[in-house]
Amino acid sequence: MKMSPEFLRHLWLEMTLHRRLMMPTVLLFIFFIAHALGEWSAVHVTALLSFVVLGLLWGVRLAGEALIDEIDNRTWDQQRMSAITPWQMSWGKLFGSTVYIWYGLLIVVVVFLLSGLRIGEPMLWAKLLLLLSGAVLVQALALLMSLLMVRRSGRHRRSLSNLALIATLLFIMTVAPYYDEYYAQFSWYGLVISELAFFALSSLLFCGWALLGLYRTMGEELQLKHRPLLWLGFSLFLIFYIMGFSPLESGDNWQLNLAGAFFIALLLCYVMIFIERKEPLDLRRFQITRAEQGGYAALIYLPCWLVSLLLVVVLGLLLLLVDGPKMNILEIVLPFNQLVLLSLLFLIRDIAIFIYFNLTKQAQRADATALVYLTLLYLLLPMLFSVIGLGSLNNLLMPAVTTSSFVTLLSGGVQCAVLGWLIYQRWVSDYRH
Amino acid sequence: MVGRALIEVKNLVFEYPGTLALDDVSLSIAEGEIAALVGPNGAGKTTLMRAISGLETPMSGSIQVDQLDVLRYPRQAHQRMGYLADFFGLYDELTLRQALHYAALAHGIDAEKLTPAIELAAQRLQLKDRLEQQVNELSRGLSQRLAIAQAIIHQPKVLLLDEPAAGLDPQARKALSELFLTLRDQGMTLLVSSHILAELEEYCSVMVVVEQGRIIDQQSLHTTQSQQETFRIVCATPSPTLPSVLQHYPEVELIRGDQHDCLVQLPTDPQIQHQLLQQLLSQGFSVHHFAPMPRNMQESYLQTVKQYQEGK
Repeated sequence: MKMSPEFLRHLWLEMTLHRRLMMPTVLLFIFFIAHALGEWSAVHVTALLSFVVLGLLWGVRLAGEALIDEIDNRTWDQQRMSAITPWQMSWGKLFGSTVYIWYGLLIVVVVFLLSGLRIGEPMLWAKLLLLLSGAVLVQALALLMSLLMVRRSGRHRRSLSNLALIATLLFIMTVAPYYDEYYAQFSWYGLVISELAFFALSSLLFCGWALLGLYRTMGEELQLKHRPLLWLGFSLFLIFYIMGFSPLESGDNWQLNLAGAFFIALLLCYVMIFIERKEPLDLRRFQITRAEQGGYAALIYLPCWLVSLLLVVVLGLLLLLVDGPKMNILEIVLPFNQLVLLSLLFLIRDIAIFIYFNLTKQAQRADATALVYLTLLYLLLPMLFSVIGLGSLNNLLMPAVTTSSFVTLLSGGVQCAVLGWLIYQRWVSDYRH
Repeated sequence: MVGRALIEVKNLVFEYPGTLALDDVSLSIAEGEIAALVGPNGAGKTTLMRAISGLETPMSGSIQVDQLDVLRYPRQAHQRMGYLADFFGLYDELTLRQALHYAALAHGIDAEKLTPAIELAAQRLQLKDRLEQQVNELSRGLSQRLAIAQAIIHQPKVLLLDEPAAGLDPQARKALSELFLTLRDQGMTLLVSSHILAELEEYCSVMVVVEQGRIIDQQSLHTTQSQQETFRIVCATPSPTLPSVLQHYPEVELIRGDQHDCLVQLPTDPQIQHQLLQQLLSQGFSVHHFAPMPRNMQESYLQTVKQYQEGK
């Protein structure tokens, strides 16, 4: 791998002699005190905590702010104008901004391993794999998120790194209960595996996806256009991954598995419509490129949320064709066809809300505004209707499978049509030259 | 000196939400030119610069730099270009040597060529004796020089500069003008955006006028290539016949004139100019000023804009 100039620059800035001496000194002091207080087991726990603080918390903050610093210092354009490849830029920024952290983590890992071997810690290597891949995963996600935010609105916020920290804490809280579960086991597609090993391998897999996502998004920022096949690949992978936890045996009720896949794709579509850049002019770029170079070439302007929407539609159509209107899950009989249709319809309505607000000339707060409207539709109005005894009106606002599903269907259809008309009007007035 | 087209922009359209920033812009800058991109604030100069440099994706059109399609191969095109933004930043905590080292690596210069590249860039920008100094210790003018050194360290064929003299004192501006001429002489083609025309006049050979997202004029400012020069002839005493006498000379084209002051077009041949002066003096005209008019970019620019606005 060729040395990334970005990594080298961070090395110059971060690894001064003073800092190089400071990190091991502080860490050795901490480990010495831990040993004095509780021998090797205390050292091991201290090493674990040090790893979490350094690698997961501090590392996330630094990685999340790496790009923001460039924009604040007005050096980002200079980097974009360079010949640094997206991969060099990605790993250079990721490991460059956190190089001092990794310098400390190297010492922590050595102490973690030595103390673990000394006290006979079970599954030590799986734990180490979980920690290392987890640290890279959350740091890569923090950098990816800041990149997506910059691409989405051209702006950045320092508070974003706080969000990344919160996400990291959630990651820690999710993984922590399984950390000492040596004997508990998961069944994943019938493969019985220790929970800890499963988390470690999963973390490694998702770390790979995060790095790929970072590389691809960095490429976009460096003006290298790609068709959104990676996102499609990740969506299919995630569906496959999550479906592995299904309690149903394969072939037992594959329609239900298909429904699971449908709702995962639906969720991914919501995630992407919120975090991805929704540049209305990309639609015109798509049109022009399609006219000049053909449809395949124009796919570079296809947003990921639209890929997810297409996936949802395909899975939804498959479900409708399956003819499983009354599938029995946990003793609850659900008319699935209606639920699929309603979910699809209200997904389109929600996307339309995002698109409508993003069509304004000053779209900086468009997504926040759309979120407020969705909160109103999914939370506040239903609560209000319930409080005043008009709970049945909730069926007009969100997908609900009841005896009056037809009314909900009609309501969703009307809302989509109205929003479609509003979008068209705004497009005509502001964008059609 | 001036050769094939090094920057070729064809039918470029660029939109911001609700705003047509560049409207069917076509432009061709030949090798060895220093082209001035002039126009009022908000005319589209920076957008055009950023599109040419491959930092922004236009709606349609094509951009070629040194025959390379910028939209298709932006990273490769960056190796043939240098760009200095109007608001640029530097890595304050690095030394100048480190900053140049980083820029060289970032532009793909091989390890064995790093030191000569740093030395050359520092020499060109007269920063050689400051290489160990920290960037945050530099003045505004020196920072500007470092930024340009970083932009040209890979010896690009094209250098794009957006408002390069903004915030510089007159002395630094003068040095910058000289630097641009040196770079041009060393084989670089420059596209400089500015709305301070007086400064551009010193070094530009082409003026490209941008107005409301359109290029309304592109004219050569080469005096050496032109066959004619504008001369001002002033007499110390009233000479009512001066304009009519001047009109009798076949080489002279009278632009305007009165009994004191005439403006004429003369061939650039010094012999012809000398003969005219000699004949005027021999005819008793009290000529006390006989000199070519300095090129006035500002006047030319204002005239172009006025014609454009009248034609609209």
